[in-house]
Amino acid sequence: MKIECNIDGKALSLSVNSNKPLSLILMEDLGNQSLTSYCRGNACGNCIVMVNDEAALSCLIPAFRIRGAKIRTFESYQRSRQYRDIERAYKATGTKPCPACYNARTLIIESILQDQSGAKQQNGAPAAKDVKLDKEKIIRELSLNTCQCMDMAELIQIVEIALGYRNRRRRVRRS
Amino acid sequence: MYEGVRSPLIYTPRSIGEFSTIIARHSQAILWAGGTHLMSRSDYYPGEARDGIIDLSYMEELKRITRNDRYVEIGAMVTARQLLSAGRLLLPPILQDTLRSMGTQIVRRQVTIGGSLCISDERLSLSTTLAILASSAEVKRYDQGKVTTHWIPIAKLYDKDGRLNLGSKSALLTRIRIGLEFGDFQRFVVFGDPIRRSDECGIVALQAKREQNGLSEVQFCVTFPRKAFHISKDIESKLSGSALPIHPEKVNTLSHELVAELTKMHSTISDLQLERARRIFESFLHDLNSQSLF
Amino acid sequence: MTEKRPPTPKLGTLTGLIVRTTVAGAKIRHITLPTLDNRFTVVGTRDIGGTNRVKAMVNSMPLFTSSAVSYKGQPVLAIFGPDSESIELAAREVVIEYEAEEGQEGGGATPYTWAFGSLEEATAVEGVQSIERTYRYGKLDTVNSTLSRISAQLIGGDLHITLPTQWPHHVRETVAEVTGHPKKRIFVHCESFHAPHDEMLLTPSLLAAVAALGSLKSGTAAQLFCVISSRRPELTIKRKSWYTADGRVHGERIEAEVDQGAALLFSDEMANHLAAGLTPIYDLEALSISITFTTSAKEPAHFHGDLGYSDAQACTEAHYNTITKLTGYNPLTWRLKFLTDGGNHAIKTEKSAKLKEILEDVSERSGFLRKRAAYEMQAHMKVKLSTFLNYSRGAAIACAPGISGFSSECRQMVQQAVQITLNPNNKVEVNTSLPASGSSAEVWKQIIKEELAIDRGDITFIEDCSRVIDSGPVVLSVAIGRMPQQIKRACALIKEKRFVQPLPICESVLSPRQSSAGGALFTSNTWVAIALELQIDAILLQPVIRSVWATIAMSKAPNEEIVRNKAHQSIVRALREAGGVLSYTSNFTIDIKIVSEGEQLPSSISSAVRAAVNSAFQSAVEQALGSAVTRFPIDGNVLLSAIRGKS
Repeated sequence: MKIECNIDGKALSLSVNSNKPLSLILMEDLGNQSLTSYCRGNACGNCIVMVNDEAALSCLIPAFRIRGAKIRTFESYQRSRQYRDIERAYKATGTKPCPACYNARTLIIESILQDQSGAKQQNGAPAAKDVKLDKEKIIRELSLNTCQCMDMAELIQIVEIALGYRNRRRRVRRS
Repeated sequence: MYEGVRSPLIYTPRSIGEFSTIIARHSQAILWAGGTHLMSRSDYYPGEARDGIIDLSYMEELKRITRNDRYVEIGAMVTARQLLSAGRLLLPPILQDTLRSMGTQIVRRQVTIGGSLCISDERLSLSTTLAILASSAEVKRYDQGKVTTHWIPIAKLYDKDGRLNLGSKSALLTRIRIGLEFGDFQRFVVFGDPIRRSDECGIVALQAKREQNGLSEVQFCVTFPRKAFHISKDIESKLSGSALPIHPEKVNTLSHELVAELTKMHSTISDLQLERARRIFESFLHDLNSQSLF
Repeated sequence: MTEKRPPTPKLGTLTGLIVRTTVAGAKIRHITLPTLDNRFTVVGTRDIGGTNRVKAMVNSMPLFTSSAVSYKGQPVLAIFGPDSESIELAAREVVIEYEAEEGQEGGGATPYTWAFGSLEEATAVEGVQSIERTYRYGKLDTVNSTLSRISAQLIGGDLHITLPTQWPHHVRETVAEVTGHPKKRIFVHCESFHAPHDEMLLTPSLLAAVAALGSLKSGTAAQLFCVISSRRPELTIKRKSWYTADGRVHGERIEAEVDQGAALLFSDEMANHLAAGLTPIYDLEALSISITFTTSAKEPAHFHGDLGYSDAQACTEAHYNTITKLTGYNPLTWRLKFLTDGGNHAIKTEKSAKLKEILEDVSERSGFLRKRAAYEMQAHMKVKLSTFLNYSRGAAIACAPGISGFSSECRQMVQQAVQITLNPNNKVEVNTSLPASGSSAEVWKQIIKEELAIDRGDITFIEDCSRVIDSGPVVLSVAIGRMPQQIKRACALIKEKRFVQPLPICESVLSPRQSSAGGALFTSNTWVAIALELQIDAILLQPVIRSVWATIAMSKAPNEEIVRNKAHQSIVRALREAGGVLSYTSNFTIDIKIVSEGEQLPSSISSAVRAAVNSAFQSAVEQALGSAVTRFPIDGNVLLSAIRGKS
C-alpha cells in the first residue's frame, strides 16, 4: 500500500503493508534512531511520537491510519524550542531519564505540558498563569512508560519546572 | 509488499449502508475501531487479514453523542477521551472514573467505546461499569443479506467467562444507551494492571440507591479479564433492602459468599485475585456504613 | 572534534532473527527449514568456522545448539532476510522436533566453603538457643522491551560490529573465536545503553557472533534487533544461628544454594561476593559458610546488577533484625552493642564507630525507635489487616558496607588498563573502553581537572575503536569504584613527569587488586545506613512505602550530587524490584544525607544501598504483618501466604 505522509518535516510516499505498525515503519523502513522499542503488546510506552501534534503510541497506529498525517519523532522534536523547556528542567533537577526511555518520557512530558499550559484551550483564551497541577493526573500520564529509572517525585518536579519555563516563555512572547 | 505477506485491503465505509454492502461481501473482514486491542496482541504483526480490514473511522454516524431527559446515546466510534470531556456534566461519576482509568490521555485518544466493549475474550473496565448502569447496546446483525437491529443490555452481551456474544458472526455494535437515573452511591476500583498483567487484575464496580437509611437497587459486577465476568444477583438481592449500617458480621458473610460464588463458577481465578476482590467489596460496604453515620 | 560514526549499513542489509527452542531439557531430533530463496541466509552450527562457544572467564556456554537443549529459548539457528516480515514468517515455518532426554537438573558440585572459629565450641555455651530460617531470593518480574540493534558488516576485509555492550573486548574475542576471522581485523563500535541488571555483558557478544556469521555467509551487512535481558540467579540461603539471652550471637552456619540456570558462569567469583555478603559485620565467634552452585533448565543467570553481594547482605541484615527481636533488643541498640571492628572477615571496612554514628543519625531523623515501638503494639490487634481498621505498619533499620570490583581472590580477570595522555596545549586524551558518557565520566573529568588543573573542555575520550584499549567489563560499579583510582594514579604519574619531560606524556595504569590483608576479599571505605517505614494496604495487599531515610558515610566524593542521585535511583529501583509500592502523597520522602570525611576515593555505594534497602523492607513487612517473611521479592502472593499462616 502506498501511504503519503509527512515524517519529521519530510513529505514521504511509503510503500508498506497497510497494517504495519508505525513504530516498525519508523524503525525498519526509515531507520529512525530515536525509536528503539517494539514490545509486542506489553505497553512499554517507549514508542511515543507526535501525530498531528498529539502524542501517540506508534505501535498502536497502523500504516493505513497515517495517510496525510504529520508525524514528528524525537529526532525532529529535539530541535524545537519546546524541547528546550524540558531539557532545562532536566538540568535544573540534575536528573534525567535513562537512554532507553529518554525520548519517550520527554514526549510524554511534552504532552503533559501541552495539556497543563492550556495550549489547546477550546475557546482560545490564554492559559491561566498559575494552573494548579493535578498531580494524580500527571502520575497517571507518566506511568504510561514502564521504565523504572526514575521515581515519580523526580518526574513531577521536572514537569513543574518545565511548565514554569514554558509559561514564562509564553508570557514573554505575548508581552 | 512482501511475498508471503499480503497487504490487507482496507475498506472505508462512510455510512452504515455502505458498511452493510461491504460486510455482505467480506464477512470475515476485521472490524477496525481504535485498533488498540488488535495491535497490542503479541502475534499481531506480521499477520494476515485475508478478507481485509474495515476501517470504521470514516462513519460519522458512529461518532455522535446525543441525549434526552432519560438517556444519553453514544456512538461506538466515540473515543474514551471525547466521551470524558463531552460527558462531564451528564455522565455518572462512576463512568467518568472508569474512563479515566482506561490508560492515559494518550491511549484514551485512540480507545473507542465500541471497540472496548467488543473485545472478544477479555472484559475490562468499561464493560464492568456499563453492566451495572442501566445501559444497553444497539447491535446490527448481518445474516444472509438480512440486517436486524437489536438493543441488548450490556450485561447480556457476555457469558459468565466474559466472552462476547453479539448473536451473529457478522455484527456491528453501533451505539450504546445509558440511562440517566443512577444510584447516589457509586464505587469503582481496578487492581493490578489490566494491560500488562491481566492475569493478576480485577475490576469491581458497585452502585446503589440510599433511601432513609436503607439500600435499594444495588447493582454489582466483578470482572477478571479473560477469566470471569460476574454479576451476582444473589448478593444484589441480599443487599437491596438492607438497612444501613450493615452489621460487620453480615459484611464478612457477604464477602465470603462472593468468594464462594466466584470459586464455584470460575475455577481459574487465583487466590490473590479473589482475596483482593473480597477486600474491595468489603471496603465498599464499610464505606456505605461510614457514610450512613453522617 | 568531529564525532566519528561507525559505517552505516547500506541498502541490502539483511535483518536477522534467532530461532530458539520452545522446550527445555530435551534433545533436538530434527530441524525442518522452509524453502527459502537466495534472498535469505540461514546460519547454524555448521556455519561456525571457529568454536561454537561463548566464553566467560574460565567457563563457557554454547552459541547454537543442534542437539541437547539446556533451556527453553536456547538459540538454534538464525535466519537472515530482506525484511523483518519475511524472516518472521520464515521463522514460524521452522519445525524443530524434539525427543525426551534424561533429567538434566544438576548439582552435586563441590561447595565453596569459608569458615572461622569453631562452631562446636561456640554452640556449646550454656543457655544457647538457636534460630533457623531459609530465605529465598527468586527471579524478578522486570519486563524489558528495548530493542537493541546489533549489526555486522565486512568492509575490505575488516569486520565492523556495532552494538551496545558492557564488554567490547569480549565481543571482539567471541566474534574472532566463533567466526575464525582475525581479531586484528574486527572493530567494535559501541552504542550507548542502559543496563541496570548487566543485560549487556555477555548476550551482545553472542548476538554479535550471530550477526557476523550472517554477514560473512551472505557477503552483505547483517543486523539483529533483539530484546536483551538478564535473569537473576535464584538464591536459597539456610541460616542457623546460635545465640544467648544477652543478645550475643555465638555461631552461625550458612548453607547457600545458587541456581545459575543452564550454565555455571562466574561461579568462583560469585562465591566470593556471596561470602562477603553472608558474613555478618557483627561480633561472632564462629562461622561456617557453604555455597553450592547448581544448574537447571533455565536461562543462564550470573551478573544481575552485581554478583549476589546485595542479596546476601540483605539476607544477613534481615536475619539479624529477627535475632534482635528474639533477644528483646531493638535493632538499633543491638547493633550499637555488637558492631565490632574487624567483625567481617570478608570485608576490610572502616572503623565501626563511623557506622554507629550514622545508624544513630538515621534512627533519629526517621524517629525509628518511637515508630518501631508503636508498631510493635499492633501485634496485640485482634484482627490484623482488617479492611475496616487498617493498622499494619512497619519500620526497620539496616546497614551495609559498600564494595565494588572483583575480589582479591579473583585471578581470572586479567588486569585492565586505562591510559591518559597529556598533549601539548594542555589537552588530555583518555583511552578506555568504558563508556565515556554519563555521571561516571563526569567524575573522571572532575578528577583529571583537579589533578592536572585542566579545563573540562580539554578532556576528550578516544573513540577510534582500533586504538581503544581494553578496560574490562563495565560491571560491579567499576566506572565509579575502580576507574577513579586508576585515573587518579595515572594523573599522579603524569604530574611527576610534567615540566620535566617533553609532551606528550602517556601513562597507563592497570586495575588495582583488592587488598587481601587479613584474608579479606574486599576493601570498603563506605557505610550505608537505611531506615524505612511502610504500611500494608489492607485492601489490595500491597506494601506501600511511606518514607525512606539514608545516611551514607564515605570519604570525599568527587561529586556529591552524583552520589545523591545515584543513591536515590538505587533506592527507588531496589524498592520497586522488591515489590514495594512507592506512595506519592505529600508525606512521602526519600531523605538522603551524605557524611564525607577523608581524601581517599570512596568505594561504590550501589550494592550496599540495595542490600540495606531490601533488608529494611523485608524486616518492615515482617513487623507490619506480624509473621515471618522469607521469600523475596515480596508480592501479593507472599503477603497472602503470610496472612494465612503458610510460609
